[in-house]
Amino acid sequence: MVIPLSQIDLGEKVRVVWVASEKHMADRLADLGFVPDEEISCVLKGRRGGMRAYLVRNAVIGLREENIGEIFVRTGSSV
Amino acid sequence: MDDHQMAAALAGNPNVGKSTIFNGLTGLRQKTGNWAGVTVATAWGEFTCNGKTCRLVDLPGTYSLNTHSREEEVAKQYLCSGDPDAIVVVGDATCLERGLHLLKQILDLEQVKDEGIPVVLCVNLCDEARKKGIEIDFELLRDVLQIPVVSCCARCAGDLAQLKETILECGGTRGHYECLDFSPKNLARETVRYTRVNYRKQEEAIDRIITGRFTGSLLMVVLLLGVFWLTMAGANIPSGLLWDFFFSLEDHLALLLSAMRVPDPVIQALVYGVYRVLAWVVSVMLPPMAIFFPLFTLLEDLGYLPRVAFHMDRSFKRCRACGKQCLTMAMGFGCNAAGVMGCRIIDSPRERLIAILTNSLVPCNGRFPTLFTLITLFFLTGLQGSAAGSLLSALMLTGAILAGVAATLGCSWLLSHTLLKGIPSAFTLELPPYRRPQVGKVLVRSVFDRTLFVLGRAAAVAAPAGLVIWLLANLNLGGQSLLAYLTGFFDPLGRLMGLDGVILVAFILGFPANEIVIPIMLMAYLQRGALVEMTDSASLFTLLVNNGWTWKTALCMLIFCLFHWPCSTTCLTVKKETGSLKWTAVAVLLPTVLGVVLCAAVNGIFFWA
Repeated sequence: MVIPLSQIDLGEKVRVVWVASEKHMADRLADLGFVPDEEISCVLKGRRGGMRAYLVRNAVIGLREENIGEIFVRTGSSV
Repeated sequence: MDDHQMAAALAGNPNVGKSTIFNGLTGLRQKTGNWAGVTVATAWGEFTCNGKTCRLVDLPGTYSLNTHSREEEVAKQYLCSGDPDAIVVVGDATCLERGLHLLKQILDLEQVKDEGIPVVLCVNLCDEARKKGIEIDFELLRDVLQIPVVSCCARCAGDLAQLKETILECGGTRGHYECLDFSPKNLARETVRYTRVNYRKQEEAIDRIITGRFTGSLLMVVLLLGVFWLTMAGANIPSGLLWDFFFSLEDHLALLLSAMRVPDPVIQALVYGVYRVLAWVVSVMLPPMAIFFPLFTLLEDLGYLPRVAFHMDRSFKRCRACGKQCLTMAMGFGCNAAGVMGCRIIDSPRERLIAILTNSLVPCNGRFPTLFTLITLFFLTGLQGSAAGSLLSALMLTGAILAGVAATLGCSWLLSHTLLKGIPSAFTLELPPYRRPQVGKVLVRSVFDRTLFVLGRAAAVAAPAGLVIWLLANLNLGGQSLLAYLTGFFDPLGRLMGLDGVILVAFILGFPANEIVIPIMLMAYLQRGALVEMTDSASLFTLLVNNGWTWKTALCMLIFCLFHWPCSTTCLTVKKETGSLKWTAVAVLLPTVLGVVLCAAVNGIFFWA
């Protein structure tokens, strides 16, 4: 199932399907490893409306809520 | 030996200990930090090994060479400039894949390919990886990449020596990358083995507490107050010692000059004007900064500060600013000039400018004693010395700090809706692993990089200011000193703000350093010719009351002390960092207007008092 990254739970492992951010942000995310087929997981949820952190390529990256919603991921056993 | 000196470039992701390697190789103290973006301009140094010298250029840390941030452009430009004879790519053993991505991009650069510039892969932080149970198959890495691969922990001297040799050996050789094709992802998968499955568990648990909804805020406030308390309490004794030392020299200096037949007025001006102000500034400024900055750097090296930015981003996002601004703000509590300099860690220009312009809205170390004096004299009457009194004064000081933070957020909001309109720029924040700081290095680095730097700039302005203050207080015109004329001139404006002319002039003459505002004020009230220190709070209180002070005057001065023009050092730094007089003017006007308006408002509201 493909859902926005914002909807995954703490510790859940998912694969990136598509990054819908505007170009500048998308480039930046791609450099950090948010590219299709990359496995990522949520490691920190923080405060509501605040940043959340994801483990990608073995580094912890904090992202803002609005950017997290622009990343679509595949969940479930197909990971 | 040929005359041509070899040049090598040091490239790598941010936060892989690149600058630590650079320092280790060159012995140069280039500042390193536990987050991205400390190296914005390129730094360079030299090292010698086996009689050969190599010039090493430290490039800013980049995640890739694709996108167009300033750092990436700088790095790419240098790599393609034809200058480097070798390129060292530094990767992090705990996340090798990212390093390999950058390595691949560098090997794909046309310049590198065509000229066959030798590339060395240096896998750093191997000690950290080992602790986490991460094993790397270096043989396989070398076999696939066909370039020299050096494992390294920047803290081991042996590794650095090997890296030196490897760099010098490959100078003059040619790399062949035409047939080299590898997938960073697959290579990382094949060469890295995780022996401990849950090696991140502990760090995640700590992170959850540190960035937790309540625990995060609580820890932040406690740590901040702890740092303040240590700074204020710890600075008292060294400050006193420095003070006694400098002022015991004063009379000797005067005697020495008179023995050299220097005319008396000149001696007066030099010793009681220039020297006294300089000694004053150094003895009250140096100890707090020498305590605050190492503590701050310690938290930075530990990896705590990026977590604070993570936690606080929500509030700053609402003001369309960057979460990292809370760190530059916190640094501003130590010294606004250092805080302004620290704004380099903010990537996007708009957010960086907001952080620079609002930095002086939080009180620095130099203003704390003034705030403290005002609070204890006027708002804790009868409570001095008691436990309730000290608790109440701590609470009021915290209130003043919070007012500064609120003003910072408010002005950031205002700026991003007026002068610096724009949507928040892309913001991603890497949370590096916790690292054990190297206490010795932290001390040396923070004292040299921050403390002495700021002190040097302050002293450069304090000396001429001392002369000006002395001239104003001692040149008489029609039986009145120039200082008296000046305070008379500013008196109406001061009254409007609930202050008086003397206080306002003290703030103006205190431009080189906020520490000397109260001494100047006392000098003017007592009509003396040089700065005056009063240690007895009762007589200080009487003096102020005799000069028409009420609690309202104290409150207005408290506000104006929080919000007025930044000190000269900060102004110089803003000019240097923004490169624009216009923005420097905004940085001066913003807090000043806020302070004047607030003081006038308070004066208006409590007009009967």
